[in-house]
Amino acid sequence: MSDPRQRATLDGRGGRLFGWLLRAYPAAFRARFGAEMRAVFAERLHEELEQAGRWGVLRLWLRSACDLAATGCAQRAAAATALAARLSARAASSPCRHRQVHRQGDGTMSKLFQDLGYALRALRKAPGLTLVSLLTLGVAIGANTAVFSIVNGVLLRPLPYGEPERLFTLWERGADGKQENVGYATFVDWQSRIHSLQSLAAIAYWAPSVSGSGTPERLEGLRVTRDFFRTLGVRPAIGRDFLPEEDQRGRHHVAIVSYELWQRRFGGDPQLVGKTIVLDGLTYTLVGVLPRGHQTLISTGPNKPAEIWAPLAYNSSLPWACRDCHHLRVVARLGRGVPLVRASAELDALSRALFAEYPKEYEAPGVIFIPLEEYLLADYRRPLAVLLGAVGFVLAIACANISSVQLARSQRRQGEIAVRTALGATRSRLAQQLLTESVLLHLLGGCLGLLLAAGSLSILVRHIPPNIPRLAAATVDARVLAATFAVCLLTGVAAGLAPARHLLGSELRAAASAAGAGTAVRRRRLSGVLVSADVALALVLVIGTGLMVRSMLHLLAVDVGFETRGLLAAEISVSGPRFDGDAKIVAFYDRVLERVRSLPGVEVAAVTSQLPLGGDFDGRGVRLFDRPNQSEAERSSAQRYAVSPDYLRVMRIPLLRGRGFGPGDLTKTAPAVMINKALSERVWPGQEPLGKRLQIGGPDQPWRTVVGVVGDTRHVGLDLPPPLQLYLPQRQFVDSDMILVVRTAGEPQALAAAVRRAIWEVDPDRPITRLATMDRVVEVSLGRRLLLQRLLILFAAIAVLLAMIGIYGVLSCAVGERTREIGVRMALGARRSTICALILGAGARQTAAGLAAGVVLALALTRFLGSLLYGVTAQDPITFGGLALLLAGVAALAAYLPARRAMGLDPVAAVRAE
Amino acid sequence: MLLVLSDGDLHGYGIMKEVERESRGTVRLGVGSLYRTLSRLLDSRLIEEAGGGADAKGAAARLAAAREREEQRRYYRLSPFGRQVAKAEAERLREVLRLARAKGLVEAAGDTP
Repeated sequence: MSDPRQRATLDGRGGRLFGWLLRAYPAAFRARFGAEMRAVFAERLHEELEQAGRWGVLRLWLRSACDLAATGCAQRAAAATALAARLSARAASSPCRHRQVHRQGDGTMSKLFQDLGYALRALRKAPGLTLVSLLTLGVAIGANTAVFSIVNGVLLRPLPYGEPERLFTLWERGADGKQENVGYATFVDWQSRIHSLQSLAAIAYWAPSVSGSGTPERLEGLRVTRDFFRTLGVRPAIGRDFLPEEDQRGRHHVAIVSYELWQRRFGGDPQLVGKTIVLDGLTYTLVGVLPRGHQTLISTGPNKPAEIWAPLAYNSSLPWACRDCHHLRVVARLGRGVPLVRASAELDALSRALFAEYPKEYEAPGVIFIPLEEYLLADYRRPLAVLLGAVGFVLAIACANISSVQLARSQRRQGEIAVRTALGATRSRLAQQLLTESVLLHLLGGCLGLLLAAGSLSILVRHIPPNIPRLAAATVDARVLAATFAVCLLTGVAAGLAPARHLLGSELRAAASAAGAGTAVRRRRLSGVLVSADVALALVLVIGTGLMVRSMLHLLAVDVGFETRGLLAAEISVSGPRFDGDAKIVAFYDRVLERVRSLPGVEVAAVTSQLPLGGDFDGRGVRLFDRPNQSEAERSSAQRYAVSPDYLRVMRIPLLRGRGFGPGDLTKTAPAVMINKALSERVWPGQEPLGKRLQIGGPDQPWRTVVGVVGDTRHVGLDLPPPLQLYLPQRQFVDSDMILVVRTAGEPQALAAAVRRAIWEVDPDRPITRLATMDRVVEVSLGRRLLLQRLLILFAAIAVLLAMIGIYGVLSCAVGERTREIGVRMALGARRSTICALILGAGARQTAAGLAAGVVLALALTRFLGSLLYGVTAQDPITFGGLALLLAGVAALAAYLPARRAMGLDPVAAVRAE
Repeated sequence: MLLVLSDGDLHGYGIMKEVERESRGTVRLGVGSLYRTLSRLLDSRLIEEAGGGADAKGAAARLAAAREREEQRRYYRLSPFGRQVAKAEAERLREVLRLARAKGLVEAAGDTP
C-alpha cells in the first residue's frame, strides 16, 4: 500500500476540472463514488508525473476525460433505462393514460445517452483522426466565434440608450441634397414648434484642456443643450443631470464626466460631485458621473469617445448662434407612439415655412432623419459582413474536411455496421447513431473553439486599429454562446449527413455484393466532390484577400505628396485667459519651435493648423477677385492650412512656382497665400496664378495675393484624390491649436520624449495630443482597411492550409485503398511515372473542378467588396488567374506526397496486402 | 477484476494497479471504467465493501488507519457469491480452452511460457 507521504491530492484547478468531468455521471453515482474516484485519479496522476513527466500527465488527463465522458454517458443510459423500466412497471400497474408518452420519452433519453457513449468510444478508437478533426473544428469555430463576438458587440447589441429605436439624428438639407449640420436658430425653432418629438438636443464639439493638478491633457468632450442626457435616456450614476437654467450663459460652468475619466483623472474620488476642475483656464463645477460601462458613442470621432460634457449655453445674441452657422448636430427622441412619417411631415412643413421666411439663410428646404444606430454604425456593416463571410468559408472548408475524414473512416467501419445490422439495429437507429457521433465531434470542437475565441478575442481587439465604436465591448456573451452552439449542431448534422447516407446506402448493397468494390468508387467520387468544394471555397477566400491586398499595395504606393518617413507630429493646444491675444499665441509657438529646433537629431520643425491624413477638416469657401459675380454654389471650397515658414521644407512638399513663406510674412505685412496645383488648375486653368487675389471665408476677410504654387498632398485619405488646398502664414491667421511637425535625422519615435519635454519646458500646462510618427498617422488613416486585410490574410491562410490537408488526406486514403490495385498494375509492367500520373490525375481533376467552381463563385461574391477596393476591379483578371495558379500549385504539392508513396510501393508487398 | 480481488481485499487504486500488472500492461483501466464496473459488480452482489463482513476486525483496523491518514478509502472484496461466479466462469473458460485444443485451434498446454 502506498506511503502516506507520497499520497497525492487533487486540488486547485485540476480538482475543479475533475469535478467538472465527473458531472458526466448521474448525481447518485457521483455521491456514491465521487470522492473515491477523485482519490484514485490523484494517485494515478502522481504516478504518471513521476514516470512520464508532463506529457504523461497530459495524456492521462485526455484519456481520463474521454473515459469519464464515455462511461458517464453509459451510466446515465443505464440509469435512464432502469428508470424507464420502473416507470413502465408502475404505469402498467396503474391505469395511466399517458403511459405510452412516458415510455417513449424515457426511451429516447436512454437512446441518446447510449448513442453518446458509443460516439465517444468511436472517437476514442481513432485518437489521431479525432485530434486532427477537433483541432480543425476548434480553429474554424474559434475564428467564427471571435468574429461573431465582434459583430455582436459592435452591430447587434442595442445602443446603450433607453428605447434606442426612437432616437434619430436630424440634419438640414444642403444644396446638394446631402445632410448638413444645423444652425442654432433653426434648432430653437424646431425645439419650440415641433410637437411630435418628445425632446431634442444640440451638440457641439468641445476639446477642453485640463490644467491644474496632474499632467495637462486635452479631453474629448461635447457641449450639449440641457436635454441631451434626458433625450438619450441616460442618467448619471453619481450626482445629477444638467439643470435647465445651467444652459444659460453665465451659469454654464458645470460639467459631467464619464466613469472612465472619473477613475483615470480623479482616482474614483467618491466626493467628486461639487469639486472643481480647471478647463481652458476657467473653473467648472463637477455635477455628475455617468454610469460605468456607458459607451459614449456620440462623440467627435469614432476613436475619440467623449469623456466630459458641459452645457452649450447659446443664445440668439451670440454671433455663432445664427441661422446659417451650421455646426451643430442634433439628436432627437420621437414621441411615444408617434410614427416617423408624422414627425417627418411636421418638420418638413416647418422647414418650408422657414425657407420661405429666410431664403438667404437656407440652401434648400427639408429635414433629413437618420436613425441614430444607422448614423453611428452604418460604416462598419460592410467590413464586418465581409469578415463574417470569410470565417464562414473557413468553417465550410473545415466541415468538408471533417466530412471526408468520416467518409474515409466509414470504409473501416463497414464491418461494425454490418454486425449491428445483423444484431437487429434499424437503419434510422444507425443513422441517428452516426449523426450523434458527428454532432458530438462538432460540439467538442465548438468547446475548443470557444476557448480559443475567448483567449484570442482580447488580442484581436487590441491589435486592430481602435476606430470601430464599441469594439472594446466585444465579449463572448449569451448570444455568442447560443450562436456557436447552433453552428455546431448545424455543421455537425451537415458534415455527418454524407458519411451517414453513404454508410447506410452501402450497407444495403454490401449485404449482397462481396467486397463492395462499387461502393468504394462511389465513396471516392463523393470525397472527390468534397475536395473540389474545399478548393473552391479556399479560392474564393484567397481571391477576396488578394483583391484587398492589391488594393492596399496600390494605396501604399500612392504618392501622398509629402515625405512621411522621418516625420514626427504632435498636436499642441493653447487656450484660456493666459492666451487671450494672437500675439501671445504666436510667441508661444515661436518659443516651442526654437526649443525643438535646438534638439539634437532635429533637422527642421514647423507648425500647421491641420495635418494631411490626420483626420482634420477645415474647408473654406474661396472668393476670387477677378470673378466678383460668382454665386455661393459656384465657389470652390479649399482646405486651409495656417503654417509657419519652414512647413514646406519639413513636409518636403515641392514648391512649383513663386516663393514660400519667409520670416518677412508678418502680421502687418501684405496678406499672402500659397495655393496647390489642383486649386490653380481649377480656378485659373492655363493662366498665371501668381499675383492673383482671393479671399478666404467671409467678405470681412482681407484679399490675399497668391505668392506661390505648391504640390498637391492627399488629405482626407489615401484613397481619395488631393483636395483643393491653400496655405496662409500662421501669423496672419492665428489658430490656438497647432500641430508641430518635426523632420528628424533618425528614427522619429526616438525623439518623441525629447520633443514632449521641450514643449513642457516652455509651458508645463500645455496638453500634447496625438504625438506620433507620420507613418503611424497614415496607418491610422488606413485603419478600417488594415484590420480587414490582416484578418482576411489570416483566414485565407487557414483556408489554404485546411484545403491542403483535405486534398492530402483524401488522396493518401485513396492510395491506401488502392494499394492492391497499384501493386497489380506495377506487376503487370506499369511504370512508376504512370502510377504517379494516376494519383496526381485524380487530384488534378478534383482541383480543376474546384478551381472552376471557385472562380465562378468569386466572380459572384467579390463585388460585395465594392468600395473597399482601390485600384483594382472586383473581377481583376491578374488576381483571379494568379491566385488560381497559386492554389493549383498548393494542391499539386498536397497531392505529390501520396503520389510519391504510391510510386515507392513494392509491388510484391502491395499485392499481398489486405 | 474478480480474479484480482480473489487474492485479497483491495481499494480502487490497488485494483487498477493489479489489473494492469496481471494483464502485463495490456489492460489499463480508466477511473471511470473502473468505478462503473465496480458499481455494476456491487449492484449484482458479486463483490462487497470490506468492513461489513466476517473480517470486521481487519477492516476496523484498516478503517482506523485510514482515519489516521484523514481520508476515507473503501476496500472491496469478493463476496461468496462472487467467488462462486468467478469459479464457474473459470471452469467454463477451461472447458472452452479444452475444446479449442482438441480442435487444434491453440497449441497444447506447456508449449506456451
